[in-house]
Amino acid sequence: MAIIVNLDVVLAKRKMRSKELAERIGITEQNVSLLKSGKVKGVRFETLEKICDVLQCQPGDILEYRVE
Amino acid sequence: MSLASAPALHTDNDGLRRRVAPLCHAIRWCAVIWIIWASAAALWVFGTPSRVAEHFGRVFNVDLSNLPASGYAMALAIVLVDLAIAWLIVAFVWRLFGHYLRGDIFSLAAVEEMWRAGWTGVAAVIADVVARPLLAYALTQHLVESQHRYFWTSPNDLLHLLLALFVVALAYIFRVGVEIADDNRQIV
Repeated sequence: MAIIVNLDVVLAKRKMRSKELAERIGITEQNVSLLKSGKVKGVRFETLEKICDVLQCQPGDILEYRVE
Repeated sequence: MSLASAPALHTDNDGLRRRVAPLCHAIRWCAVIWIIWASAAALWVFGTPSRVAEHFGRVFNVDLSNLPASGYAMALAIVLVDLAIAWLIVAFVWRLFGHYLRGDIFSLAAVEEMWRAGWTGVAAVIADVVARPLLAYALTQHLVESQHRYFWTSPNDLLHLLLALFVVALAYIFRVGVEIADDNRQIV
């Protein structure tokens, strides 16, 4: 996939577990896990905004484009 | 990504399920009451040759007191086939709305149940249209030519066909709906 999700990297930098992020942004841990593994078709701006707010980061820190 | 291989993301159809639940229960129980009522009424008439002769004698305005056993047996078989198809429709309707009651609304299983209910409905209408002249033939074949009865279709057959085809069309539309819902499920 050309879009890489670096959520696990940002979570590690912030020393935060998926469970806590899921609770704070109001989605299931299962969905956070799927997002981390990139097994999703998209991310809502609403979810992205909450992630950036909780992790104090920019969308570009979480999503990255790589030429395949 | 195919529907089968899509990751199972958490979704919540609870709101919709709650809104349609009373309708689903009503439809399921109406279908059950209808089929029991229709079966009881048919089996009452077809329970004995004398009741068949009396009932259809009035309908056809002929004397069926000498109805042969073969005519009665053929008529009974036709009615049983007709009823079997009707029971099948009720089973599919029961299962379809069972899916909805479980919140399993935009799923391939529910669409397939709807598709089966629709096509069985079409088959039931066709069977009904074919059964009526067959029934008339079975019951009046022993009479003289002038007393043979043939009744064919009625406007209600077209209405029932329209409703059954409507369900089939909805099933096709829902199939696309399932694909859209699946895409939506993969957006977090």
